[in-house]
Amino acid sequence: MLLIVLPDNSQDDSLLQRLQAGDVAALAQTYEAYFPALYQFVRLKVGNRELAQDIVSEVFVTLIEAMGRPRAPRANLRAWLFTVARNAVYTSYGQASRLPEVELEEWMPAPTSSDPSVLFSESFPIERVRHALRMLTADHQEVLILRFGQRLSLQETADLMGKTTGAIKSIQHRAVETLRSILLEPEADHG
Amino acid sequence: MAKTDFQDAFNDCIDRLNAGESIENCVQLYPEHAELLRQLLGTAQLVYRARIVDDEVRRDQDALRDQIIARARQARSQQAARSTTSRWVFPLTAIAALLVVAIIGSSLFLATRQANPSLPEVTVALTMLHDGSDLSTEVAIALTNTNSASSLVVTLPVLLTATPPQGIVPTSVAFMSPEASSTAQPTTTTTVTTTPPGTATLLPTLGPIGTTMPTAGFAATGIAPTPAPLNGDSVVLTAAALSSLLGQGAGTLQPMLATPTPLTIIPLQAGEIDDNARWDQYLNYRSNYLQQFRSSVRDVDVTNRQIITVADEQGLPLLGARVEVYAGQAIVSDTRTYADGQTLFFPNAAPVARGQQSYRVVVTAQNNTVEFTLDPQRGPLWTVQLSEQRTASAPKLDVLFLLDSTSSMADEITQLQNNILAISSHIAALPGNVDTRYSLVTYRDRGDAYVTQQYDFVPNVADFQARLNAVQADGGGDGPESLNEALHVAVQNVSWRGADTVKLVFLVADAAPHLDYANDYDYSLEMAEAAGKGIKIHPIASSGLTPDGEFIFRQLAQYTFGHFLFLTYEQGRSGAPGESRPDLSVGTPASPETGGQGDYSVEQLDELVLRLITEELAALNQPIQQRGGVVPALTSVPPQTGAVVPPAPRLSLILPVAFGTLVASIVVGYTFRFRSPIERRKRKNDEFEIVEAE
Repeated sequence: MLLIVLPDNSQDDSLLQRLQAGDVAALAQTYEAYFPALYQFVRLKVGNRELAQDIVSEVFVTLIEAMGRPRAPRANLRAWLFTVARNAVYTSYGQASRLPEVELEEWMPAPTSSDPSVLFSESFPIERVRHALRMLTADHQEVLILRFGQRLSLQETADLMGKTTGAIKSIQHRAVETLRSILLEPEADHG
Repeated sequence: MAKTDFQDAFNDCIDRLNAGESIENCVQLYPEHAELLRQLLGTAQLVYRARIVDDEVRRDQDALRDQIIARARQARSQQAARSTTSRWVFPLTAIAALLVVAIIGSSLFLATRQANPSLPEVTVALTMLHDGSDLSTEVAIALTNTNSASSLVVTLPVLLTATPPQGIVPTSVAFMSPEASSTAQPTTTTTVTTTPPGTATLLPTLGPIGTTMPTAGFAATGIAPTPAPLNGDSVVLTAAALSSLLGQGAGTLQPMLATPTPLTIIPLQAGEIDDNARWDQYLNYRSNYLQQFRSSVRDVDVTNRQIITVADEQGLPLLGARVEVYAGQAIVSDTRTYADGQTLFFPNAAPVARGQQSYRVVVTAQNNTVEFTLDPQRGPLWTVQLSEQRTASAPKLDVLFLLDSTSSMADEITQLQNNILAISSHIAALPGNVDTRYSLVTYRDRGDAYVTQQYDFVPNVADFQARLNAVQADGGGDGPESLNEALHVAVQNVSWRGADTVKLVFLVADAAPHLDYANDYDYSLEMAEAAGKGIKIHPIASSGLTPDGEFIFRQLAQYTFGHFLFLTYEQGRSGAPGESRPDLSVGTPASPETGGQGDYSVEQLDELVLRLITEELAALNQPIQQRGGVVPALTSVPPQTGAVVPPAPRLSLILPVAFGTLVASIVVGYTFRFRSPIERRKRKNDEFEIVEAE
């Protein structure tokens, strides 16, 4: 069994101890600290807003049920939460192989920038990026969301996905190239 | 290794971007990769932009907060209530359990002491090389002292802790006999080799430890950690352990090589689809894919597929018969029949063949040639019977494993190696005196240490396994790999035997071929070459295969009458064997529990591959009249020698089928009319439930 190894975080350490003791205030603090990241992660994967709410709720319900018990998170709170969220997404979607459609107006507009390197990214509407993301494999989607969407480190991403850092390096390279090639194809090709 | 360098540069830039640096700042650090980095990092930034707007996050966070906190308070109060009522339950249970453990432990300790009065204290340290993750495992080590005829088995759960947390580092952990309590200090190492089929033996080649190293060596068997030790892992015996053993045993410690204990091989699970058997579904899948991504693959038009079966005068299939198809004077297909006597012809695949009214087919076996006209309008199934007698000899089997050895396979390559080792051992043990040879081709990508490495066919399974064991994953990294070239090597550069040999390729990979290389081979031509040699390709898709990769793998399988296999995993757990493969278009697995037929069945990979091989061999002696499945080709009237049997007229089937359907409909309708009636009630969530009628 591979254990998740993530950098220690003193704030998390304190939260962990209090969660292990069943402290409801610690849960509230965890909720404030981690809800946005978890929601972004889940929402980007499942697309549907109500379902994302359900899944994130389920993550915290799982945490509540674990609090004060031996199965409470002990090593790394963020990794624990993301792992629960990831499993909840898979459980909810079962065999569904693609992320569902999302409403276009829910996506943030492209930021403006004078950096010439950003010109490429600005030339694609967000809905097209989302569409392209949905066409990637589950592993590719996840690496992109965790690494670029959530800005997790290579090691954190590897631990969450149960892969080696070498594999994540390879996958992230491959995923970005695939995403780019999809984006550069004519739009009609993607239905 | 340019690609590895680029991956490191790309990864560094991602970290810098995530830390707030600009793309241009980062690109300046790697001028040799500047353009590609600029492109990919620009793309990567899109993902961050695709995040949800903060307003929505805040709204939903506010909306759910009260529910979550209320739920926590409720759970807390329930816990408190439970703890009040059961305050004494846990302490009492714990005390009782401790007493039981103490009694049992004391009894075992005394019994062990009586059985092995001279049992030495042993401390063995195990060093494993791993990737930096903490590894929780269980290790059992059996030690035998031949002088005292005593033995000791130590089985302990262990946690291997890696420091520093990254890189390949040796980690030590101490094992102690029930009586021992000393701390181990590793002093020397030896190598564990994995001997097929999945056995591990510590070789008696320990270096000198202190001054008391036994001359005959020392062996430990039954080393069974999970995951299993592999080449490169090390087992360390401490000086204290040996001196302790020698001090107690005062003699020679003999290796226990004769009875190696099998290692636990984690069996991979795999699903299987035979696209030639589910033809309509395959055509739908193919059509849907091509509508969206035609440019990502080679579109070989396999519609209007014709199946030609060649039999001898006994009605037994003829392996290796040559089937040439001509459109006018141009040859448009040249294939060999497989073990079941079948081969495929695709009238729409070649432009010159497309749209022809009929084709001239020439079938050549060892001593006979038959020619006939194939009119696709008359149906897709054709059977040719030659006045040929097969020679009685042991079946010949050439099996080639074509293995993607790029770093993206690193997660699975060890398990695949172990599974292929098991498969090859099973093949070697096949009944029927099969004359088997094995070959291995591994491949990576341009710019890596190698593009392809080939090990030509050998009859000795141990030779093959030694080569397989040496394969390591490295390189690759840009998605597609050099599968085109690898297929060329596998099909054309190794020494396949002649027409009387069953020829199988098992392609194990997780990536599509590069279709953007100049001066490259072409998988669509290589699969035609494979069909021309009578080689079947069974691709085995590892995790992470892209949709274009799936399409191409299924093309390879379908075109060569192979099956598409894919490793399956536990839902939501990356890497754990299970039944799920949501990233592919293969559908849902069959469920024996619920009786759901599903789209594919799941078996252990080694059993599945072995079944495909045994079925292939069994088909050699299966009269084609008795064959079910894809090709119920023969009519009820046995064909004449040298004759061609065109497809049976379809009208002859229509009336009986229509009548049968009518009768079945009446029976089913009558049965359900007078049995418990049901009705479907629509629910608000648009699902249906079936309920008993009032």
